[in-house]
Amino acid sequence: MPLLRKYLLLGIVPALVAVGLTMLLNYMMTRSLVLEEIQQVQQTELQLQIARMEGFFQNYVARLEAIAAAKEIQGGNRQEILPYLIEQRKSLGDQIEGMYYDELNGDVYGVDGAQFNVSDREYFERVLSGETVISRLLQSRGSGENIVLVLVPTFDFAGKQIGAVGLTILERHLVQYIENANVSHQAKLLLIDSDANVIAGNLKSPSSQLEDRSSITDANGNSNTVVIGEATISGWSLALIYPDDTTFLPIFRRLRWAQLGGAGIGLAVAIALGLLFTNRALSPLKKITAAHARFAQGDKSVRLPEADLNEFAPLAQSFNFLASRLADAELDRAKHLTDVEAREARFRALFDAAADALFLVDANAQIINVNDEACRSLGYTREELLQLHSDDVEVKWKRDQIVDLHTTIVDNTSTAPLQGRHRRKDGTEFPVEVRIGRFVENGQPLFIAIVRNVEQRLLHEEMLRREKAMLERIMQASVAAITIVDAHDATRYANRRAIELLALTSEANVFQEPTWLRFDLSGKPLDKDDTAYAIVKRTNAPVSGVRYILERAPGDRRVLHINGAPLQDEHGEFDGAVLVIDDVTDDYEAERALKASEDRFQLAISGAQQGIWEWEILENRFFWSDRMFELFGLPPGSEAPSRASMRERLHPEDLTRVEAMFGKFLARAGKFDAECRFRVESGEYRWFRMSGDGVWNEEGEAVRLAGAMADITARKETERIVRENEERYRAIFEAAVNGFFIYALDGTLVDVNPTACRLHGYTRDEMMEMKPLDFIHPDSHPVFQDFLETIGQGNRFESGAIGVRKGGGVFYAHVIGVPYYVGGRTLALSTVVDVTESRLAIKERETLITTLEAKNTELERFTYTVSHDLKSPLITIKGFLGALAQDIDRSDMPAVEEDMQIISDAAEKMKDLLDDLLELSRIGRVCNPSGFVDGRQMIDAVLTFLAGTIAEKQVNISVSCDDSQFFGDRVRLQEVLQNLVENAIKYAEVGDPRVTIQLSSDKDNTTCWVRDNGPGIPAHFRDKIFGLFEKLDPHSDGTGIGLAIAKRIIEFHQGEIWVEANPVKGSCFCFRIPRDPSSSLISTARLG
Amino acid sequence: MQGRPIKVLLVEDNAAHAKLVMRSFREHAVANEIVHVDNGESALEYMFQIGQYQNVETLPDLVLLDLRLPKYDGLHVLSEIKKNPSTSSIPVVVLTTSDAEADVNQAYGHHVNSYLVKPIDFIEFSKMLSDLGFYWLVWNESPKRR
Repeated sequence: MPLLRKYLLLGIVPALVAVGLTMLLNYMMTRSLVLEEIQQVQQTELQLQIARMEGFFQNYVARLEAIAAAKEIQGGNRQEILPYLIEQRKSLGDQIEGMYYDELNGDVYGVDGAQFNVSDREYFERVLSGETVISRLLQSRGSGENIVLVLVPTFDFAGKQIGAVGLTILERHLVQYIENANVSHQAKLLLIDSDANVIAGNLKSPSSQLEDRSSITDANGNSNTVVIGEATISGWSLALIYPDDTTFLPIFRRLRWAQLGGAGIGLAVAIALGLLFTNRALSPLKKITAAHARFAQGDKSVRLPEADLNEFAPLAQSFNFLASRLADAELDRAKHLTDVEAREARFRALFDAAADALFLVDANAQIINVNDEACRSLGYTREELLQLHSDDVEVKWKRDQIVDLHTTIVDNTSTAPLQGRHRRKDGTEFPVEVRIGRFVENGQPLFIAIVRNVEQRLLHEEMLRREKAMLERIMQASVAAITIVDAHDATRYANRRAIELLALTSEANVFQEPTWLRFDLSGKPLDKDDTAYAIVKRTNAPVSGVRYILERAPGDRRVLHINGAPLQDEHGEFDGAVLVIDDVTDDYEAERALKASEDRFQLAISGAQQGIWEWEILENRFFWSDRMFELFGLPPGSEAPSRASMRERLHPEDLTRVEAMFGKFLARAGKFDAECRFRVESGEYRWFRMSGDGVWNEEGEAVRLAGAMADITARKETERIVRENEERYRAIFEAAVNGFFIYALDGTLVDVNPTACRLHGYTRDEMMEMKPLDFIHPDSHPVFQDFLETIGQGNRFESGAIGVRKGGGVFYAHVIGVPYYVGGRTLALSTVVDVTESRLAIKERETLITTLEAKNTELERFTYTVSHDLKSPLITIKGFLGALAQDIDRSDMPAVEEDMQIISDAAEKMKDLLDDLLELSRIGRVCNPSGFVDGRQMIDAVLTFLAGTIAEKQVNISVSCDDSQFFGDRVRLQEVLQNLVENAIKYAEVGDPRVTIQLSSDKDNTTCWVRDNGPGIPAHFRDKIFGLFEKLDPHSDGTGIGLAIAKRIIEFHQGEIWVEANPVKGSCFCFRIPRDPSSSLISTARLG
Repeated sequence: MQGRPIKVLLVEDNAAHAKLVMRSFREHAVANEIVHVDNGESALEYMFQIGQYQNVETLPDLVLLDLRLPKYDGLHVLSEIKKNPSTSSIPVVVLTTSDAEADVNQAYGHHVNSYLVKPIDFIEFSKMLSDLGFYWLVWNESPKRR
């Protein structure tokens, strides 16, 4: 039917078209919605993965930040940082490749000791700008593997960046972490770095193709959906690759089937049901969307029932999975927060429980926090204190001072203890000791003041100081010497008396004593283990009554009595000793004397040593102890001898004396104590000491006598020997040919013998009044000092010295000194022999030897010269006699004449030489009488003698002479002058000859100069010309002996002769002789 | 033999001895020229061509030297001659009256070439000088001097 067809056409066709269009539309809408939903889910999952990866790094960043906040790092000192990092590294597990400290200049110090510079690295700039950097590094220098570097900047307490700490993670750990990620729908997770390199995840397709694509087709021809997101933490990207056949295709397939099914049920309902289907199909999606919305609004517990969602179940599954993971992450974060709070709480507990008051203040001294002790000590509540500033409780410090102080604290070391004074809420004050430290919290500098109440301590210190001062005063005032010695044997304290007694010197708080000698009381050197200190140190127990002798100087011995007590440390160990030293020398001497008398008493009553006798006078009965019999050589137990027999045994020389004493005693007019000789049984006489006492009756009659008797023969013998020795030595002393002097070591004269007195010419009394230095020559005073010192050291002394005689004369002495001990005192005994004469004799002999040696040498020289010079004319004579013979043979008469003249001259020369030698030998041997010579007269005599020559040569002579007289051999001296003047005339300038004679005297010498104006004598010949037969001019007259003779004459006068350089021209001969007649006489006498 | 005159320097203060020496040399004709000086200073001036002898052209072939001389003595002259390279090769013969051991030793210490004691007998003296002349001036070969 057309209508039906029309309706059908109008109904079915549009319906079909509508259904078709609806289906198409529906399909497309659904598909886009599903796609959008899926992509949203995928994005969420990607963000989750990114968050997970950031969590991976955040873990390390957090550790590094914790490390960076550590005080060791904030201190900024590399020497502290590195060990700290090494310590931290240990707790960081093996995912960490290395840890490093970067300095601002880019120097990096690794915990493994590596050191390099990264200032040129791109990431380092970011570090310098304070960023936390995570950077990927290829092939690390440590492991050679790819690593990821995490660097966290570090700051000092002032918030200034000082460097960075970093660690490196082996990249493979990151890769593993990424690959272990649990992702939905068999998706692949890729980690892509900023250079588009795939680091983690496996994808065949090159990564660069991923950049701008939302889907790719893999090697199997399957299409995949790609989701890429950038992880802000490192500039990396994460990509999720979802295989379409596990995500989209099942959904789309089912969608298609549903729609085809709907179409199949009926076209009629297609239209009606179209919307219904659409609606039903969309409702699970709406649920999913709603769930997303609720989740986004914070309902983390929302989950989708997967069963209800039919074909949308995969989406619900994804949602549920993601929601669970997010919930887990949330839990992790919450746990981390709990940790932080626990730490905070622990700090709080420490803060509150601290024994010191703690104040946390800001830079302006505002109190930010206090602990319980702070509140308790000041009497404020915590809330009250938090309203206050530091200076509200601190009295001594003003707020600006505190603020200034804060600025001076720059690092985490706290200040030295500062003295302050706190005021309580009730207004009372107490002294405190404060340390302030600084740290940075949230970039804000905070100060923690640790305050300790030192009231009690100061009080104790003051008490201690006073007690110490008191003790010190007591010790200083003590009459006993007190020293305190520490455990190292150093004397740390000595009171005045100790310093005086032991002559202590102090240096660097340690007292030193001179090296005294110590002896025990028997006089033996004291073992160093037996000193009081050594005993206390050894026993660690008090010791008392240690006595020994200290020798402070020879002869100055002090007996010391020492009590000592150990000082002990808290464990009771020896830590030094206190010694109280008394000088008991006087007591000791007294005691010793007492002891001696005690001994005597003991001796008196000792039956063992002494015999005891008793005499019952009225009954005339004797009682003898056994010892008595023994003393007399009688058998014990025999009958005691009668009084008569005792008298008979008494030595005749002693009889009268003893009887007289006994008589007196019986009359009670004296003691009975006699030393006398008895003949004993062997017939010899022995010395006994006999003493006794008696009992008298009322009538005054002695009724009973008792006494003791001791054999003192040995003592008597010793006494006799001592006496004899004494007498003998005295005799030697008195009669000795040597002088004996006995000095105390301080130099005072103790005794001299008669010879000593004679040596010095004084009487003994005069000598004893004098000081030794008065009769010792000043030149020998050092010898005397040396003598005393040498003897003081116990040594023998021997030396020469000069003594002074009464009236000022001196004598040479040979002194031998030895130490001489008398009564514990050292004296110096010197024996002196006058050696003046032998000394002079020695001197005389030495002079003679010297003279003899000189003469000997001169004689040798003389002999040599003479033999040579005498031989010379001999050769001439013999030689020319030979020549003469030849010439006569040749009848060469002129030659013969010449030869004969030469021979004659040589013979003449020889005669002259012999004359001169004779003359020379006469000097000294033949003495003219010496006397005073008048200089002027002598010159006149010479000039008169030479008047002829002078006139002939027309010599200009000038004379200058004072009125001096001198002592000598006038004839000889005149010869000298004449010789010099003759020479001068001979060599004076031809044509204008000038000669000057000058003579003058000073106190000791007379000097004469003879000058001419001739050619002069070169300096190097001036000595030679005084030699025997020396001539400068071989053609001149004479033998060359004149100056030798002159020299000899002058030398015999103890003078000298020489040639001076004439300042103008010519030569100048000079001689000088002493004016002293005695020296001249001696020389003449000696050498003649 | 040598193609130039042979010169001898005689250092002798005793004029008579000098005459004897010169007479002996003349008789035996061993030297062409004998220069006589009578003291040590002149001897040194001659040898080193200074002072009054600065114009001397040739050095002697032999020096006869007495020891006891005025001014500088013979040992001094000897040591100066032997010390100086320009004169050290010239033979020096000490001719003296002294036979003292000290003099002999010292002369040899200064590298004297011969040491002769003047014999008292004239014939002997003459013969000795003749032998001396022949030995040093004729037979002995000295280093050539420029």
